Amino acid sequence: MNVLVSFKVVPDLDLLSGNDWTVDGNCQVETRFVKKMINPYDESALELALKLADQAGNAGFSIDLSALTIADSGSDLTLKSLRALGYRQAIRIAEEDDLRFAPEKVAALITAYARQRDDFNLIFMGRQSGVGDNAKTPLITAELLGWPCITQVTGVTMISQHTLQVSAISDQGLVTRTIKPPCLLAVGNAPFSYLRVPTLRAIKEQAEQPIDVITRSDLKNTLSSLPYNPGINLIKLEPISRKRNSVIIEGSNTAEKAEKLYQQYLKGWLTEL
Amino acid sequence: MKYRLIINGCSPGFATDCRSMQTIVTNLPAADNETETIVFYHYSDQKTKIMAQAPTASIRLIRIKEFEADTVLPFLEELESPAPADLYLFSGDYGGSELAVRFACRLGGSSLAAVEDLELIGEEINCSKSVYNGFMRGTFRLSEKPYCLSVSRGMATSDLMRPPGVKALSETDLTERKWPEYILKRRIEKAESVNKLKAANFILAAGRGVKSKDNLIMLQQNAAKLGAELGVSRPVAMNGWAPLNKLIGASGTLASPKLCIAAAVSGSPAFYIGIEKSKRIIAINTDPDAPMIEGADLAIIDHYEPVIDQLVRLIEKDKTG
Repeated sequence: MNVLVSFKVVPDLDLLSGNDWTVDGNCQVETRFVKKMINPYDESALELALKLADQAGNAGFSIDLSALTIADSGSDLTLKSLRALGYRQAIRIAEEDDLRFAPEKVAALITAYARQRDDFNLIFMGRQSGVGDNAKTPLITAELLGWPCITQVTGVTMISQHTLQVSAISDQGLVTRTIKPPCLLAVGNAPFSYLRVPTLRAIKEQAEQPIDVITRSDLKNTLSSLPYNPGINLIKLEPISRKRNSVIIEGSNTAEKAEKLYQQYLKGWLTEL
Repeated sequence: MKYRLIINGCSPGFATDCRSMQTIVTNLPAADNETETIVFYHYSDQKTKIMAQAPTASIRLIRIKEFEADTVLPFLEELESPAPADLYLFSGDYGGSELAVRFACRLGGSSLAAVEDLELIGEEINCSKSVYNGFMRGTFRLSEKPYCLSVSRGMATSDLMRPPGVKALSETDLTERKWPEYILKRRIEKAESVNKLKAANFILAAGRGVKSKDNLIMLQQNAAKLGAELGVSRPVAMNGWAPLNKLIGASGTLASPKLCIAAAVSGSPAFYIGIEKSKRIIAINTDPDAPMIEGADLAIIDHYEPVIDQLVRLIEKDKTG
């Protein structure tokens, strides 16, 4: 089984403080100097695919893993780490365009790559990433590929060489489906899915190996046949203020602060519940 | 313009979705035709509840086995393709958000998920929603009809009049339809019919700062003594310290208790969205610069354990007189 996982390296937005949230004339927020991380839902997707490969290996099957990102060279180190973890191929589609709010464009590139390879049975993606918060890329990719899609995936288990069991949260509860790929899995809140850490030796082995970089023109044959008319444009970006009174309860020790909180506020509030 | 609402009647959040969508529709100019709501539901006894909560007077009832997007989508496409509406509003649950995007792809329209506000600009529309993990609000211009939007659940207002004379225009039964071919077997462990966090008046929310599952268990015991429902932020749930039904935030429950104590929660917007409708918020955190402090009505800068322990002692002392 051939598995593709697409991911994105994003700024850790929780590290920005109030004054950092300023918008320039091009609807841009300066995040270039903020620490980067793999988008948390994508991180879960990458780890779930590795766990699936582990299970397959234990059962005597083989799963071939590929990791794909659409980015500049800033993501190359992550791609090398993924290779050190067991992703046989680590591919970057070189793209300089602003893709924050362009899930249609991202989905078209991923679809074009998948069609060009034409050997994937399963695609994992995070359900959304926290800059655009679009929550659309996996759904559009599935539609472009004509594949079924399972959203809010929390776990995947190998049943046989050609069948999988997929757990996913739905509005009604936890749905467990036994499926026959091809299928696209959009990973949601999957517990215990922090990405494992590669060994130093594995990292060293991969450090000098170049990653596969392809461009839009390498994909022109498959990309040109895809519809691209999202009909949507960002026209304004503004910070959201979520401030309240924020009265700090002072005291010489913890017990005194808690006593003040209880006697002056909480005691009365609890009677209103 | 012609509007259509699509709601998942199987979802426990059905009533909230109805109010959210009614809030949006009420603020739109009158439609060219009567606005219809398409409701997917499962149990026949749900019909009364659906009629009572319906956001529009005209509804179409579609009975299904379970909500499965790959079953519902082809039906919707078949139903709507001959004469599509200009604007489709889908409920803001998981199912609705998925349908909105995939339905737009199939009908060649434009889509946006978790929309919080909507304004008609001639034949185009402006929609706003939170972006950048909830730190920013983005406004988007949509220009390709049909516009397919899922409506954020946080939009619901409670003071809306129910439309009078709700009538079912049609009833369709899809319960005999087979699951899509790729699904060989399917089972569901149904969630509790009442979301305890959604219904809670008092929530004690725990963040990453609780540091361990054992500490969280202690906090849960104290929550019970305080009379509060325990909720957690995403990192706590991802560590497996609490089940996912305890998750508060953009990807969990959007709660609106009268009182919320946020213990050791940093207060990222993705979490805060889940408690921002609280009447009162108390933050307990060692970091005076944590965003949670600014988002609270009251704050104690300290370790959460001794503060909560002391509050429990004070409450129990009052109870025993």
